[in-house]
Amino acid sequence: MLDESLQKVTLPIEAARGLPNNHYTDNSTYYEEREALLFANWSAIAVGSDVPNPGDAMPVDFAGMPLLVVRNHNNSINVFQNTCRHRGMILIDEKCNLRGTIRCPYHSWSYNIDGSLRATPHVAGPGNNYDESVERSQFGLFKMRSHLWRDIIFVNVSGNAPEFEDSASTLLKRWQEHEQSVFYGGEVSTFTFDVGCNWKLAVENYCESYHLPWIHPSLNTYSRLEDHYHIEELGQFSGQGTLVYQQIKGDQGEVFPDFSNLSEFWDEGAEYIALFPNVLLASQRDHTYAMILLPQGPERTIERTVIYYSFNPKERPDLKDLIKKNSDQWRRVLEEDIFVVEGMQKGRHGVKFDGGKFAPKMDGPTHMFHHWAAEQIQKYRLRHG
Amino acid sequence: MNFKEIDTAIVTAHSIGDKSQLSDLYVEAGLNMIEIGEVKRGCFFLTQGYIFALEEGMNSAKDIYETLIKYGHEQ
Repeated sequence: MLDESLQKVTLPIEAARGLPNNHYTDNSTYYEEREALLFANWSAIAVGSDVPNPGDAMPVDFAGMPLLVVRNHNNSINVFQNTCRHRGMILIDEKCNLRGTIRCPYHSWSYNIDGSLRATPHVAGPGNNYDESVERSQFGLFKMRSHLWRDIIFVNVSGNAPEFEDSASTLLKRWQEHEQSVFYGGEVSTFTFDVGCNWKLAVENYCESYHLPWIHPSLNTYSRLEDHYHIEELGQFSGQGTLVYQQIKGDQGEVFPDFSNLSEFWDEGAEYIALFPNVLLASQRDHTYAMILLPQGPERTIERTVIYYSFNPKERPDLKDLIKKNSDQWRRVLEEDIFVVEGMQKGRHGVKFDGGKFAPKMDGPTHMFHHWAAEQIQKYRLRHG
Repeated sequence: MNFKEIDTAIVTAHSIGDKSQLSDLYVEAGLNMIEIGEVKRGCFFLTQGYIFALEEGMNSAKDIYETLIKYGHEQ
């Protein structure tokens, strides 16, 4: 049974209210949502380009859960819990390249790159490295379900979500034309904001176009509010599209090469979708990006943006300046949203705020996210009492 | 190197985090111990060398492992 405030969230938008304040400010609600929204679903944690070479390893703090991303020698990627099976020590605390095993810095239990436990030094006394009660095959690192899509590394911590391809099937179909190789734009194409807001506010702001004329006024001259449309897929994603996308141009009028064989729609069409729970995506004719939201507590979020192209930037040094210009432009636009999400966070300490009245014609995508969140929480509570 | 020299070199290698050097030094210490019949202490040092060899992906890890097995100190 939903509590009354959550019931209101799932009403038709005309009558609905947004999620109540405690979903943005309260620690215990944050941890409940961590399980119900982030761990129960496919959440983005990093990108494959973070670990470009075999043996590369990177720790990730995912909403307080220590994870370890490792690229194997066969080029596949594994995600483990970054915790030694012995005394719970963090295994790796900074990005590195593994030449051999992962050695716990405490008692040196050592794990192979595939997570299996390889050695337990002095486990049965000095120089005695085998104890029959410590069955190595039973104490490998906990491996997370993971999936790579558009270079984004998703994990399902609970292990119970449907396969990624099923969970995201509608979006995969919608963006089928964009199912092609993407190339990381390099260091210059990634930037990170440390924002004082609950991670959900970043989703809510991203998926609606209602705020564009006020927060991104530079768009008004060529990308007016009426050129945008809502994208709403109940229970999966929501966002906005534009019909007047314009390619960025360099000083000599140069543009980025398009992705291959896109239909006419993408000449001027572009879509910006929040794939629930925590990744904000863009599809455009000539580049894409992903903003991964890494919650740091109820009132702080790391927003990490990575931009991708249809071509390998290393093979097109002539486009280096344009890549930088594009990154700077996106950084500027996305930065414009920070005061909004931080302001909404502060606003949620107003004790009389009731979750907010949606504008039915304009806030559909935002309501869709609230609706999804409320239902996921309900599902979690039913399962866990 | 005598044991005292090895001990000094091990402390230095630890301080600079030179793990492949650490592996070699511990193995040398371990084999020296075994040679004088101190198998238990030798296997302690060999274990130290083995772990660093594994971490560094050194080819020597296999030989150390087999030595530890020979003395019944590894599975």
